[in-house]
Amino acid sequence: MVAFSSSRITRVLGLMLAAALIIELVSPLSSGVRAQEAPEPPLGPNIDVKEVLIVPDYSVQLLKFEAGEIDMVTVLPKDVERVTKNRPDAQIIYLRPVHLTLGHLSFNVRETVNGKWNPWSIKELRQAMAHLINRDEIIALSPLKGIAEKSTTIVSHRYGDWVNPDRSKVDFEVRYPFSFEKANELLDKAGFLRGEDGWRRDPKTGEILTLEIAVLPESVQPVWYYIALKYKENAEKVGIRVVLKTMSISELVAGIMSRTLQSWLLGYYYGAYPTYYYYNYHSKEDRWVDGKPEGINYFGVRNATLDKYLDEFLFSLDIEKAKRAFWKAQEILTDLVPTIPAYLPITIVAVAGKWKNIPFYYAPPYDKPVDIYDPENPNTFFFDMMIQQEGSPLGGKFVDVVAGFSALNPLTSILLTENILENYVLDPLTVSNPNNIYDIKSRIKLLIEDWSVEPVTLDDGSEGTKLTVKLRRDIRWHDGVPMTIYDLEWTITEAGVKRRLFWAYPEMVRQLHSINIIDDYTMEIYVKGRSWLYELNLLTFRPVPRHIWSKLPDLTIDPAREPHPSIKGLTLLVGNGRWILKEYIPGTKLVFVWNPMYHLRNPAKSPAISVEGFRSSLSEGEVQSLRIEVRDYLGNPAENAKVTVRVSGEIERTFEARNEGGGVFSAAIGPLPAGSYRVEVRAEVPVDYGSISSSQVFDLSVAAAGEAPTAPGAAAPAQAEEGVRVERGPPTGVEALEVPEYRFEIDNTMIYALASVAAVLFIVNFLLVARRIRG
Amino acid sequence: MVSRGFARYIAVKALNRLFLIIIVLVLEFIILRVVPIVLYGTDPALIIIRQAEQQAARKADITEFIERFALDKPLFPDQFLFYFTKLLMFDFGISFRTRVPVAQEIMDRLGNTVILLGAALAISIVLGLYAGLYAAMNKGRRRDSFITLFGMFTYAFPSYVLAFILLMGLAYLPKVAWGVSLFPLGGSTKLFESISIGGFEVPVFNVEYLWYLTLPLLSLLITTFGAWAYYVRQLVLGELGQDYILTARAVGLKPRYIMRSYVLKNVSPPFITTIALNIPFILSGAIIVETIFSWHGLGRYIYESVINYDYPAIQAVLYIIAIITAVSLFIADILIYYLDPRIKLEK
Repeated sequence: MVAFSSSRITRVLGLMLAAALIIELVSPLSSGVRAQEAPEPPLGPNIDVKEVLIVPDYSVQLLKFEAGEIDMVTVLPKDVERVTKNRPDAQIIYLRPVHLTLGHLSFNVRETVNGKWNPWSIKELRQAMAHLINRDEIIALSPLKGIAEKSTTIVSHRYGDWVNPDRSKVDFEVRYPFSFEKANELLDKAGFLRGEDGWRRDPKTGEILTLEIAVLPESVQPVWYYIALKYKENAEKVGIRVVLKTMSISELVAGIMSRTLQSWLLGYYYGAYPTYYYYNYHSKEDRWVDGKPEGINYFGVRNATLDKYLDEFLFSLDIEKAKRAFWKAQEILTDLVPTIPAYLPITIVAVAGKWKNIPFYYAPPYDKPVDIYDPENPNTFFFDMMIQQEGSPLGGKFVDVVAGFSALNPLTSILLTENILENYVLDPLTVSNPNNIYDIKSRIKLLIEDWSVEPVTLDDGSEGTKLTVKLRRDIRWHDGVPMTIYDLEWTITEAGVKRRLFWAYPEMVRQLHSINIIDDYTMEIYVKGRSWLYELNLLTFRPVPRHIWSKLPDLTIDPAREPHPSIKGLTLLVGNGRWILKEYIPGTKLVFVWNPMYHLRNPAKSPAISVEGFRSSLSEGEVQSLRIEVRDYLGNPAENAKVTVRVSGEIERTFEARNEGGGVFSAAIGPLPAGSYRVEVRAEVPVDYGSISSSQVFDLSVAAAGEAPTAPGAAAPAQAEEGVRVERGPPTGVEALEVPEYRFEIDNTMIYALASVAAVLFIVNFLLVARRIRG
Repeated sequence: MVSRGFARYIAVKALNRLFLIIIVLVLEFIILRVVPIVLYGTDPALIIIRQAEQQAARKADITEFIERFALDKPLFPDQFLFYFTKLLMFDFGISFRTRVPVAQEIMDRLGNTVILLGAALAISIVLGLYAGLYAAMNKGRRRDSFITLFGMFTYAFPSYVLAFILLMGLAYLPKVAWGVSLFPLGGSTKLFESISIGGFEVPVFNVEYLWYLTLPLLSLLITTFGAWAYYVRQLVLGELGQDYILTARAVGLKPRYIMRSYVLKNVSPPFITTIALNIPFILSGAIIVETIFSWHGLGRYIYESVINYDYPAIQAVLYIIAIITAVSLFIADILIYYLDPRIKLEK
């Protein structure tokens, strides 16, 4: 489904407007980390605090970045030079969003539009128009000034292996190269011949062949307007009259939805997976109910073969089969030309130089780092888990910035920012594999041990799918309550099926047949029909704590503003993720601290214990004194630690260590009866929302009175971390990020022009007021 | 005891203001709900709802929203009556855009906006009053010219430019050049902080709030003070040109006495009315200043609601503004009754 999101479009418009100002791009090399094949989830987060400031104005965000108040900011192309000048340490990262494809010229392919014959329902005419766009010229000479990538396929080539690899069948630059001759040939062949005045005539009506293109005003969207002008210029060279109709975004969207526009120039948001194409081009989405348009096949494409391939694409459990069907659908769409692609945007992010280990994500065979704007945003998880400060691998505060949001309700939120922030505290069942975000089978398990999918026949005899999911047993919610399968079941049935709340209601839930709970951690989900999408829906599902949400009378509240019923310092936004929401000042900031109970926490985040004076052999009745030094994981003396020495063997005793100050503790062991003992020195250091602990274990031998003690050093001390024990190899390898080749001359014409206009307006305003006063 | 004349005057004014609210409600419905349908041929609210649903591959609660706001019913009388009765009962509903109750969104921002704009209005009125009086009393002198020109200059100065100048000059540069956080680079903080006294959480005023408030307040003060000074100067000069002032001077009354006893009394009705008309703007927020200084106020919320056709939010804010306008005008009516003897004579 295509979404003409006004907020997204506004953001894109902003980007394009900014691109109108000329820049010189100077990009320092930024180092990055590319994950290995199907990596284990990284352990983290390494940092302690993540603060998110709410700053609505982009210019102020930049000022804050330059002043060192925030660590990361999205930068418009025009400001890259400024940022690199004012923050020479900044790492400039170029990311390619997979979900956006911009500057499309799209057609209403229905035979009648507004009750009149629509010649653009003829395929050859649209194919002729496809010959009339020069993408290289547009990207180089339009306000994009080179900061974009050509889009030559209807399904953006950033969608990895969902894109048909046979470019000869789907690439517009292969099938419809920029050529006036080929356009003329197609038009002649379709019977639209030139008249004496040079314009081509519709053989059916005798009227001049005219194309009305609805487009946003140049002041709002200069790049798209530029593309529209180019179409007009080129089309008129082959005898097609083009009328540009500028309108507001609301009018444009209203026109498309009501099917009253002949053609329009717009960008599309297609989501992280290309499933929206199904809805956009399937005949069943082109409906009229009581004379009103329904469905979201705005183009009016009706093709039985295409429908068949689209059905196979979405309703198959075999993802390889689904891909092949989708490739076929792309071939048909390329032939039908309901829309002509133009370009893909590039996102620029500046990160303070002190932050290292920045992860990137890939969608092979596309070889550049991609960016997914999606509810299940793997960037957030891997980024948070992996980044480290240069010189201090643990600890520190990362300050991020967002423009604003309304509420952090994981069940009702629809804004991207809200979902990203909710993902700080709530883990989905899995996240994408950074090596290949489209490899569903190699997704990285966060909350689950395993899952399986199999086709079944449902009790009514119809086709169905059984999804089996097995949760990890070591996951706790932030308030300490263990997470069980009942949390997932509640989220699916109550929030999803019964209340149809936002993210809890994907296709899998909509088609839910029944749920069978095997035990506290295992569940079978039976879904009507068969689709690979069900598996993806399940794996991206984000359960919420039943013990909190089932007691709320209103599921639309903002849990981030409500205190936890029993634990001081927690809000109702209780999750199971890496961060715990500590403070929220609406409109100002959010403060998250690391979750010491996180099942993927970094074991290095534990106190270090150093024991002096331990003798491994004693005589009965002898007392030995220990000096224990405890440091936190940052190397600072842990003055607030609690140290105990536990002796087990012939007898069991626990000795409290005395705090001597400065992270030093003393303890006396003994007297003990003769025998062999195990001595455990344990230090527990309180942190926000829990404590972290370490212990050292020694063997001790106590000889009976009169016997010689055994030789010292018989047992070597062994340190062990408490809590989650995780043994994993290094999750990633290091790789330098490539730097785009774009470089441009500085041209301040636009800046001077704007400044002059502002100055003139100010003077005129001043004179008018002065005149009124004098009068 | 309330006189019969006063009671009648108050009753007429109260009806007047009530009528004003009803007119505003009707106009609001026509402008927000009817005009877009006439212009676009469809209800933009449905577009926005559908966009959100499609974006998430989800259509489930379209029906719920349509039912909740009677969007599937005829505009008149169904949708209008629904809208009218809900607003009268202060049931603002849920935002189309954010799915959060509108009342919560408004309350969340109301405090900051009222403090910022209320303080700006109050201080600029006081400063403007004094500066205007001073300028009027020194008409034709350099100090009059200075105040007038300064007022004109600041009034004509674009607020976003001034906001950036203040932000750059008093927050950014000291931080970058000397590492001094003279003022914050925008933002706001809690108005009250909780401190624990004897096991009880007691809210106390957060002094840091003033630190965040200073720059946006200064920005608004500078751009609004001049208009008030100029307005007061013109009012006073107009009064000073009256014959009775000449008479008062002729009989030897002191200028200060004339100013206090005659001029100020006579200029106060229009002045109070202007203040009353400005009070509602305290609620409407200052979009640019709030945005630049990251001040969590109503201005930006209203702006975003307008561009997203978020009816419940726009309706609620406009309704509240209409009520505040009516109430402040009503209070002004009462004050003017006591200040202006001509009204009593008319009755």
